[in-house]
Amino acid sequence: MNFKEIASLALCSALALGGANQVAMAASPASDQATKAAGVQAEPNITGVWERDPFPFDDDGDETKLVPPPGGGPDLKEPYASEWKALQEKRQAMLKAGTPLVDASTQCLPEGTPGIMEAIYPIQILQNPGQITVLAELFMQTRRIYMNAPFPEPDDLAPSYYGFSSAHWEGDTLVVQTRGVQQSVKFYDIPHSDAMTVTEHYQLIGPDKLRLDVSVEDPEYLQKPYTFRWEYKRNPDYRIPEYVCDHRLDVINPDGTVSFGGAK
Amino acid sequence: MNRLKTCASVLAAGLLTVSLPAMAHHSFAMFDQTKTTDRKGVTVVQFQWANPHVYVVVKSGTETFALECNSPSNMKQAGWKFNTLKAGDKIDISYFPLRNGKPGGALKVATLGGGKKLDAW
Repeated sequence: MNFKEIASLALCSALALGGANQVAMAASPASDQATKAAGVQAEPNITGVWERDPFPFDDDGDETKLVPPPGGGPDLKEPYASEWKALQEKRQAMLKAGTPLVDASTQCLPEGTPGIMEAIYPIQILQNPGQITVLAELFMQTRRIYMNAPFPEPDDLAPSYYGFSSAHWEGDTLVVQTRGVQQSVKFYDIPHSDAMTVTEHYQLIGPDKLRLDVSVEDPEYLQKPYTFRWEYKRNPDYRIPEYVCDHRLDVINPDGTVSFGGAK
Repeated sequence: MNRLKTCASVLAAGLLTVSLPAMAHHSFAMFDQTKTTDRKGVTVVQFQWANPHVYVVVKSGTETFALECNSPSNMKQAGWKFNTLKAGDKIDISYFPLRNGKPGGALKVATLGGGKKLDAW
């Protein structure tokens, strides 16, 4: 061994020993904090293409059955509860009659929060320092979630489809809070105020299995938080294609029903 | 197509799951699921591989009408490709007619020149 090699070996050993020392030190509470502050603790990796698992839609072949909202639906205050129930019944009746009512998806509008996470088609989550990005196949949507970001002042929080999302890690759980979803974005037709907040808890429950618990709160509209759970599995083989709604065949009639418009 | 069956086999293959929009598939409600109309030897006028739905325009006798199919993503799972059909192709079709009686509908199965059958929903 020449001098250079010995020096390298010495350096490596010193570093290795130094590393070992750090690990030994990390065992004590004081340096635990130091370790965390240094950002040494690795976050669970949720980057990937995720598809719903179990696949949520009941396939009895009946295309005229209205899909109910997850988690048993919301517990709305009156008069919203009765209004919502009436609208669901109307939708169901129109579906059965073959003259369905228009909804946001007819016009390929963004699903917003929490709708985008329903992942009817797969979603791609990109986890980067400072931001988590959700890219949905459906309508090629983009949702940005900012890590440890303070919420904007109310005057600076213009209502939007996805609202403003701020996230932080609590141990192994990613906690995302969203405010500022615009009132016209109604998940399963559920009305809400500008003060609605959506809290999401994400956990990896397996190497390629993700669990999301959603809680929607809105003291003005809801008797109690509306909660439900969605689970996904990672699909490393799937490449999300484009989805641009540039060949819609649906015609929206003045009465709000949708007809087949034929080819354009 | 039987979505659940397709879903199960596709999941097993590690591929994408079949999907439906959140609200009930509004456009499908416009078609009569209880009836199937068969036409043999129709001519493809246009095969539009696009979102939100692939569609094929066919000429059958003196009638020209559009048949809606599933999304490109779901059609791919069923074995279709963007260039499976082109103008001039002669195919047999089986479709759910429009409930309002107008020409057109939702393509159920297409049988291509060589006899290959492809589900479109």
